[in-house]
Amino acid sequence: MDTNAEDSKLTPLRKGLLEMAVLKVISGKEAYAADILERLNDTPFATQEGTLYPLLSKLRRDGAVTYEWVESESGPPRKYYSLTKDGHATLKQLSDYLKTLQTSINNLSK
Amino acid sequence: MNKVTTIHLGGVAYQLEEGAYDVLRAYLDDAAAKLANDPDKDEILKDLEQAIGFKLNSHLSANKNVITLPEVEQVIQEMGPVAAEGSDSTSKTEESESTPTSEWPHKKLYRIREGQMISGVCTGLAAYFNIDVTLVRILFVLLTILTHGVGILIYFVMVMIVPIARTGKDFEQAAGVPPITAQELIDRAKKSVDDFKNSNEWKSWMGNLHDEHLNWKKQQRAYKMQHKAWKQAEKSRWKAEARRYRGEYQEHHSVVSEIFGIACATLAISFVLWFLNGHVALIHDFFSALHNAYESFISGLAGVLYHGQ
Repeated sequence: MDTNAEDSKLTPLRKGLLEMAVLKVISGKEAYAADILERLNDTPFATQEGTLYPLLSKLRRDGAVTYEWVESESGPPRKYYSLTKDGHATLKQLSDYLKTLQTSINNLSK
Repeated sequence: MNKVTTIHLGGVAYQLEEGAYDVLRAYLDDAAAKLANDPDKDEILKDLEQAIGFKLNSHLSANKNVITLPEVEQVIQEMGPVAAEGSDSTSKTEESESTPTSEWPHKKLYRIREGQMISGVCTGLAAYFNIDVTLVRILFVLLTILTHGVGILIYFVMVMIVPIARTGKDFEQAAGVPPITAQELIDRAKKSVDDFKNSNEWKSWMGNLHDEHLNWKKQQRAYKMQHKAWKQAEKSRWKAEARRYRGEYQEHHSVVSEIFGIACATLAISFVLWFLNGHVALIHDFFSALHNAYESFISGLAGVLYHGQ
């Protein structure tokens, strides 16, 4: 990912998997948006509020995630996101498909 | 010294330096435009505002309560550009090393209402071909003359079918410019603030304000002097009064006279007590004698009246 040329090839891959990465983070443990960002920060999926918030909103509309308001000691209540049953199903579907893709790619060279 | 604007994000009030406010406003306006087609637009904007507020908190302390421009710039950098779902979203790394050629959105013809004369067809065409609007207008007029009026017909057909650019994305497509990054937003906001500051309107307004301010200052100073004089007079009056009062008091109630008064009173009370103590019997005798005299007088009187009948 050092050069632009390389990045332009990898970006679409990363972008396509961001949704799955977010679902994966929430599936492990319920999280605030800030937790999700922090968790992704050290990975290639590092992103920012400007991208994450609209994505979370879409996932909620799709029924994959849900949230509840949790009071915080410092400041207003915040949204605490968790995965729904559908969300777990979606995540499984995505993971399986990713595996299929990986296997297919591997087999192509044989 | 800078003016401060107070805003609230997620129900919490923040004080922003003037330039800082403009930059933040520009960021949120752009976010709103990008999310125009998102059903949860308002909710996302609220979330974004809350996140911004949370980030701003780290720049505040007990003895610093105003957010400066560099701080807002930093926060906006951290937030990243708002990417509508389904559009070309940008991630952190991509934004920092964006490759213009591959990231540009498709060009699309829009009518642009900013700077329009009739309906924004010419401004849209100018943006599309990246040429001066005036040139487009002249061409249109020439076309109309040369074609005996067909140009006008073409114009009105375009008014009917060419959509108006409304969202930030539309404007990008209309001109074929790359998606706006946070830095550009900041620069743009800064520039418009500078332009406004340098504009004549602003200057004359500031001039008036300055004059008014001076006038006001003068009045204030006059009032202050008056107040000071009044205060001084009042103060000396009170002082004199106090002095006079104290003098009178000392004249009539010196410490010596006070002690003398107390001594006299004590003496008088002890004398009365001593007198009563020694002469109770005497008083009793006196009163009983008086009583006897009274009784004998009454009986004597009764006898006289009785025998007289």
